[in-house]
Amino acid sequence: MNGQVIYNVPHAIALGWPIAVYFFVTGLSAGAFFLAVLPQLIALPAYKRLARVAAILAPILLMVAPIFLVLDLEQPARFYRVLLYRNPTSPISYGAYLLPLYGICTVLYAYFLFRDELHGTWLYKLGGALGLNKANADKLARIFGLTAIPFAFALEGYTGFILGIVRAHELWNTAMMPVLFLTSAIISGMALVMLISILTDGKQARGNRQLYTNLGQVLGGVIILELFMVAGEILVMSSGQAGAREAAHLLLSGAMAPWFLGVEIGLGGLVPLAIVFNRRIANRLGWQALASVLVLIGVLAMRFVLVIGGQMIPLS
Amino acid sequence: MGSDEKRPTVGDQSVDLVKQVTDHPTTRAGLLKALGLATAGLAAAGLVERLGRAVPALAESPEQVKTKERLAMVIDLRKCIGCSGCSVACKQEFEVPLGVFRSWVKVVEKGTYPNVRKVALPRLCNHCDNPPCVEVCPVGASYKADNGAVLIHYDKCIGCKYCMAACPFDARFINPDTKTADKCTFCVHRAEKGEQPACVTTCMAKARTFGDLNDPTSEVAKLVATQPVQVLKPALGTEPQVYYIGLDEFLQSENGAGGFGHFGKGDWK
Repeated sequence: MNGQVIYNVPHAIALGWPIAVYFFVTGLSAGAFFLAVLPQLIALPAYKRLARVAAILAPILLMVAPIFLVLDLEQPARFYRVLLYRNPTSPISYGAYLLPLYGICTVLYAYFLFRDELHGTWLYKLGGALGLNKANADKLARIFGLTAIPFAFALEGYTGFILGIVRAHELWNTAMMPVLFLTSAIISGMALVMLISILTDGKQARGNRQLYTNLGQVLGGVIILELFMVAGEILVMSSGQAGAREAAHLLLSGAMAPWFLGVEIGLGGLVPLAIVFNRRIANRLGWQALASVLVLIGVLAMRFVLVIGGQMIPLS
Repeated sequence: MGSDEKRPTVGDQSVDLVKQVTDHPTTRAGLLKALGLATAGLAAAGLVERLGRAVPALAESPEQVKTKERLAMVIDLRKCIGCSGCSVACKQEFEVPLGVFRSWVKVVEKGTYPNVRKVALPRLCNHCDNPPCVEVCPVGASYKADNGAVLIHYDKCIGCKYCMAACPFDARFINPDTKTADKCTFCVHRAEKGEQPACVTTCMAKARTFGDLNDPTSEVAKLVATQPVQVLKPALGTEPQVYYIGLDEFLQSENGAGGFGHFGKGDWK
């Protein structure tokens, strides 16, 4: 039926860019951590150098992430209350405990990984004061590394659930949400570790070219998996109920199309794939670094498309 | 939540109400009253009320029944003229700051000339029986009160805005003065004094009816029982307690004719 809204009151978007960035940064941390802990699970000496970079990045990123969350609160001084009060049906309530648990594990993992190289530094002295310097570092690194794995999964699961359980917004309310958050976290984490590793490799970089080529192809594989899932999600949505179809329309031809199709899928997915699977350029570090940057931009765009786009469809 | 009784759904409202009338303690309570129990002094009544909370057998006293009230509103859209008097009264009652609304009226023009009609949809918090906002609040600041109203502990709210995102009806906002989530309270501060909500008393078309759905003699219960009532977005299963009579499908659809959508903060502040 034809018609038009003559009057309605405006409603502000509830969750804005800080939340999108928060999801991005926690994803980076969890994704990086999977790489950091990989040598503990399978004997992959070649990846040790990457794992070390990742082990430092994971805790640092995790400490950065909550800043966005707290700054987004209307009552930032009350942030500690998420730990004092609990609500078993709220994902944020679980996240409040998950974040510190995962954070402590990643910090300890990184500490024990590097402990024996830290002799004489203030960090080593601090560790000594805390009684961390007596036991076998390798063994403890392994323990905390493996303990953090389920937390890393849960971290991505919980951020996905934050959006997934909201039935008000069709773009969010799908079982794919935690899964997409997990894969995009792995992708962005790998890309960041590769990028930082290439940039800090210095003279060794050329010698490690084969490593980055291989890792780029693994990254490409996960990107293909992610693109497959996103495509499935959008296709199912576009044949769903009215609200779901509207959400699909928003991403495919609406206001979010340039960000979704252009940046998330094109720039952040297809272009990196073309780089990492192209034999002529895949062994060039510059191209690998470019692919990593594009992947990071793509995943950040995905967070924005989901968080902001999900709330763009009018409710009333 | 808050009550062990399953709320009747829209479809079998009348059947359930009949059941409520026959099953409900009020009938037995009325009998007791007739027997002279209720003629006991005020002190005795207070004691019964206190004991009633602990002893199930005494829970059927009239006082206890009163605590089981379920506040609800019926808005007859056939009577609504879209004057926004309700929005104004609400603004006055709570000094709602500029730019945000606890109560508002959406106005839509439907049809094509010459067959056109202006339809108005007064909006407020639906005080859902199954409220998604309460479900997601990480600190338990949003809660479903015993009388059925969905309320906020303002001193507990951390302002994470998750409830705003979770509400399918856009009923919540951040109060720019208090910096916490805010919304319609069903005027519980007036209901406690036996008064009607501000929007109801001001409605010159008498389109709004407010009361206790668990009291079969209340106007609101009668309307819900005898009129074809609808709620917004019934498929989401939030079980809104704001019922409409004559809700047009055109208004039901999420963005009836495009809507205004959501605005970024900067767009309207």
